[in-house]
Amino acid sequence: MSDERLILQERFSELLRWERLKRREGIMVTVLFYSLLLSVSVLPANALLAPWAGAFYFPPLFFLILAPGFFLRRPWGRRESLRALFLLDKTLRLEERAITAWEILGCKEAKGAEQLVIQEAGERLRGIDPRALFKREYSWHAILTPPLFLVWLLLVWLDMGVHLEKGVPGSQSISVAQRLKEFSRDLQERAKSQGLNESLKIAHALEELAEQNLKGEGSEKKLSGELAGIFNRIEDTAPVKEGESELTLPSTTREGLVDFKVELETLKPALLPGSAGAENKLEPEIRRRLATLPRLKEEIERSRLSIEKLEGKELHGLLERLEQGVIAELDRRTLLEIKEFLALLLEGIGGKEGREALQAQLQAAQVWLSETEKAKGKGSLPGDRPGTKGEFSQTPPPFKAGAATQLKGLLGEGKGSSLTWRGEAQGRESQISQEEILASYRRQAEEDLASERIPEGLKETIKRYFLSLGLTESKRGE
Amino acid sequence: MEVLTEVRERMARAGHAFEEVKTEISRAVVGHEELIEQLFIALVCGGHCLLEGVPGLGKTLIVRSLGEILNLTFSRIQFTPDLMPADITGTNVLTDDPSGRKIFEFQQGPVFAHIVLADEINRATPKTQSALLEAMQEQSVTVGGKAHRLESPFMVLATQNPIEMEGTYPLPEAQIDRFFFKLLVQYPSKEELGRIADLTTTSASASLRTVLDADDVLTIREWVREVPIADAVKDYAVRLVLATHTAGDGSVPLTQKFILYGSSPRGLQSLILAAKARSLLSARPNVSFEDIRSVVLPGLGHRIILNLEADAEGISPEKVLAEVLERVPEVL
Repeated sequence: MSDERLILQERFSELLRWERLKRREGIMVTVLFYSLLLSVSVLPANALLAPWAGAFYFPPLFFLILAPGFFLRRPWGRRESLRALFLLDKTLRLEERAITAWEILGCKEAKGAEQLVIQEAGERLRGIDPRALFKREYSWHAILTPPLFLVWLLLVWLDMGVHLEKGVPGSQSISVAQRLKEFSRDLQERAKSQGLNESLKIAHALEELAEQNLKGEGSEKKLSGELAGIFNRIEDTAPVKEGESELTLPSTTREGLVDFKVELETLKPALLPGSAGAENKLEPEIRRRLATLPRLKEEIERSRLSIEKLEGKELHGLLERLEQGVIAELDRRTLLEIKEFLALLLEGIGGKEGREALQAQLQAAQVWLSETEKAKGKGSLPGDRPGTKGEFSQTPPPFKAGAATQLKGLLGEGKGSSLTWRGEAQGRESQISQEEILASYRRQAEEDLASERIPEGLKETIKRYFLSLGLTESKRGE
Repeated sequence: MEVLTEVRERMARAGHAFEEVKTEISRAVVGHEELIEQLFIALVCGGHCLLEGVPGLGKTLIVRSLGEILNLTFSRIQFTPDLMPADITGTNVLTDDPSGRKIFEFQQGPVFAHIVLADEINRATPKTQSALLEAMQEQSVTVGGKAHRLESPFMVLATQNPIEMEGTYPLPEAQIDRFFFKLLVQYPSKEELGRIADLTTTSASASLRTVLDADDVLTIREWVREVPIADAVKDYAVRLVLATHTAGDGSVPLTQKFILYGSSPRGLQSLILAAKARSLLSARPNVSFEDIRSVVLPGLGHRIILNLEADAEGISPEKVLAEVLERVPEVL
């Protein structure tokens, strides 16, 4: 093989290799440009995507999707080689000697005139350096890619995505504040009606914080900080720790506690100073009523006291102690609920993951609630036989699931289902005692009193009415 | 190395011959350098030319001068409406042989020459015009059932006048297609007119010397065919021809609108051969894209047939081909 042939083959290989590399780079830059463009385009839909699909995954994802298509659409072939050689001919004014020589080199043998073409092309291409001759040229894709990257980075940094829960930036804190306000109102009513002092203080603090944010005085970050502060404060001010109570209260459900409180309140008027029950010796009527109050009876027995030998002062002291214990326990549980609520709110402010967690918590809470309702048979209604309600498994649910069910105003309208049984009524004696039914009425009345439907001025009157129901009935009986 | 030297020598000789032809012709003909080059290209490619131009532009002079300097036999046929085919091809005449017997003897017509000037070819009837068809295509003449071979090189140079079309017979498409080139004789410039006046109105008459003979022409013809052409360049020529077809790949808008029939394969042959000749005469061992482009107008112009719409809008084949050249890329 002649020198010219070798030189030409080397030069052509070098040129085509270089052009191929440039083309590959060009395609990569083009793909990168379109990947960034698509990433910027889909950024507003960020919230619609799965939680793992963060904005930083978009460019590499689009790049991986587009790159094979671009490379397959424009593969390097003979046509591309010809173009490169054509460009060489034009640049060096070779009058197609390079293209002709390249084709002749592909043949086994060159005739006279063909040899001359190789000779002349070899002479002219001997000293050329393709890299110096055909420098990289930057397409508009390459020029626009860096600014586009910066734009994308800026948008990601500013989190310009349109989230489902927030129409405009900063609206998340307003949304959180609204929830907070609603929650604190409910909490205040409940705390007031049940005499939960610590919970009431926290509820006031929460309402104040919510008001500030609704007025636009606070930022998202500040709100988050304040909520964290309240969260810590609850931990420090818990009135009683779990298990500290000498009563069997921790194993009682909230409804059980409320029932118990109602029982205590029912009996208290009879023991007020000046009344007959306040004397040292208990009247038979009070003793009879004590016997019909299962929860109280149980606690008296747990205190190793006898109803028959129980004196008025002793009973009064016991009732005071029990009431304080119940209130403390209710207060503790309410504070735990507040803590859970705040934890969820803080997660919600934390981003999409927080919102997902909140949804999961709420769903779990709903499931737990429905299961608890089933387990209890009739929820807040009395059990199917007197004195047996306490025997149900009333261990408080796991903290995560249980507390979320108490977040009023956060759950919204859920799906409801009902089943109507129709049948002929059978005349027989009620299996539920009158006291149980009265207690359930009182508890329902308590719940209604805690709501905003009943004017403040009437609440005390209504409460007294329901508390007097048992006494009135017993007096009638006499 | 010997081969290379030989090829270089060939190219030098071909180039030198062409330069000599140009120099010698320029003594009798003023201007028309491009026309002379194209005529020479057609000669070394073995093609025939149709020259079109208004009267008095020197068409006949150019052809006659070319005949003189090439040392080739030259004959001129003035085409008229009453010209008969036998007046061109020749005929069998009754004569006495040496023994006194009456015999038919073929009397050669003016077509039996190396260079035949068919002056004002469109004035003869189609029957007479077609008498040239066989001569042009087969390089032979059949009279009385006997074929008579024409000597090589054989070249027909026909002229026609684009005006005074009354009483003329436009050439049939089949005959037009047999012309390698159709060359348009342009009006001379101011300087050229001055030189024409000097040259033709004084007593000094130019006597031309012979620079090439028939063998030289035939040798150059062989060299032309040996010039290598890259597939990419050939593909360009093919795409140019296809672009003149209304349904062809890569046909351009003007083609689709105004062309009735595109170029025949003879058009492609003309393009490639002429491009090879041009590269040889330029002392270049290979065909370039520019070679192809430079012969598109003379090689394809007479091979495309425009429709009535083009006539109505005054679109010429040159305009269509200019767009074809502009739109068809050299490399895809």
